[in-house]
This record gives sequence, structure tokens and C-alpha cells, in this order.
Amino acid sequence: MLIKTKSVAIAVTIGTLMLCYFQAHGALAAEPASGANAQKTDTATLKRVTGIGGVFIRAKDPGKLRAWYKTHLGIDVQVWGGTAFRWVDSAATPANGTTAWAVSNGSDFAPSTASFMIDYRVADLHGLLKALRDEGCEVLDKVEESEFGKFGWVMDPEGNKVELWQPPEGR
Amino acid sequence: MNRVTGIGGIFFKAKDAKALQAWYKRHLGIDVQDWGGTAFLWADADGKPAGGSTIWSIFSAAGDTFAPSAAPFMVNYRVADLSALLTALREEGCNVLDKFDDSEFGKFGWVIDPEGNKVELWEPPAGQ
Repeated sequence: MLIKTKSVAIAVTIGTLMLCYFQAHGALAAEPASGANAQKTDTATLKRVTGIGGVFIRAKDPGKLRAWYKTHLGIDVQVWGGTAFRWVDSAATPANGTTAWAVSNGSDFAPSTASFMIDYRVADLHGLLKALRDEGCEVLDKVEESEFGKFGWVMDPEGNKVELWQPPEGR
Repeated sequence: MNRVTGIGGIFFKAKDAKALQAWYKRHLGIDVQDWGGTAFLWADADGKPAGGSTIWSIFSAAGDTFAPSAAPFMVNYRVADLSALLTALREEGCNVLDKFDDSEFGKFGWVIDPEGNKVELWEPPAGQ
């Protein structure tokens, strides 16, 4: 991954925090603080999007469209307007993560006027938002933190709102 | 009948697909391949690949992949038995497209939802 010089300082900070975390949890043996190892950690911790957390569709008539997907595609649409598809392994046993799907009037896609919004899973939301701001991206001020995880948003260059989601531990 | 079992992919159009792919690669760290997207492998609790994947890709606005839909996006849904589902959808009066693909990537069929979105239905190869 290409790392811009101006984001290196932040990457080092995150890298240090992550290294402390792993060492505290015994996942990494203590490493000498050589330049090579520090660089390796920075690159690893700058992993940004790790998967698709959700797909959201804007509808003119959300109730009717949800009913169609429920009837014809068998999607177990919940009262909140969507469902969470559990990831499965090759034996169809539920794995860890989920990809959410929902149909809505799209009011929460604003300021985007697109008819869809994608939610991306990220490992470290605050670290990523800082990096995106440093890189000049249009990061929205709003951040949400709840039992569902941490959420932030950035606009892509074509005006699509990009949802960034750090799931709760173990999800 | 078991119909949709998961999200197989999300595709969207861009006015400048190359530039938008580059933005997602640089800022969001997405490993965009030559074909314009990537496959996110589903992971287990340890972060190891579990079996399935969700495809993500940016298409050129000039292309006709989403036709007859005019929407800027298309969702791919994983299904267990594509032939049976297409038969059922036709019987239920849904707008199922005639086209059908069967290759080493699996079986693909398409239906148009009531708001004009093209819905891609995908039966992955066994074990994927």
C-alpha cells in the first residue's frame, strides 16, 4: 500500500497503539524496535477496508419494495427494514461476520443523492478517519458509537456517501 | 424453497471509473484488480477466510452491464438453486430476463425488481 509522507506520523501512532495492544494480549512476541520492524507494523496497521458490511438501497416506496424482496427473494426483512446475512463457511456453518442489507427512503444517505450506499468494514475507524482527513478527503463530522460499533462517513469523489464501520469486538 | 442466502456482490457505476477505483484503492485500501474490483473473502472469528466472498466492483457509466436498469448500482445475491428460483419467479409473474450464464464462476440469472433495479442472482460453484 502506498503511504503518503504526511500520514506516516499518524500511522506510527496507530502502529504503536496496535503493537501495545497485541503485546498486551500476547499475540506478538516482543520485537526489537528496529526501523524495519516499525515500517512493517505501519504498513500492516494501515489496512483500511476489510470487507463489505452492508448494502443499502433507496426506494420510492420502501414498504412495497421490501415486501417484494421478502416474497420473491425470500429475504427475512425485519421491522427495521432489512436483514443481516451471516457469513458462512464452505460447510454452510455460520462464520463470524455479517453483511447487512436494507431498503429505505435513503434519508440517511444525505448529502449523497445516490440511490444506494455501501457500508465498509474497517479495523480502526478513528485511525482511518484521521488518515482520510490528512489526505484531504471529505470526511463528515458525525461519528456514531453504540453497541453496534463505530460509524463514520466520507464522501467519494463522485458524491457517494461511504459508510465506514468498525464492528464490535468479535463480530 | 431457500431463495437468497447472502450478498454475493455490490457493483456501481462511475462517470470516471478509473479515477474512482484509484480513490478507493488509495484512501480506503481496497485491493482493486485489473478487472475493476476485488473479492472480499468472508472471515471467521480468527480473521481466516471462511469460504464465501463478496465481490465489489466499479463499472464505467458507459457500459450496459446493468441494462435494462438505469440505476447506478446492482446487487448480486447468492442463491442455493438458481434454476428452481428462476422458475418460481417466472410463475410468480416477476420480470425475469431471458439471459442465463453458466461458467466456472457459477450460474447467473437476473430479475428486475418493481423499482427497476436489476437483481443479479448467483449460484456459486460447489464449495465457494
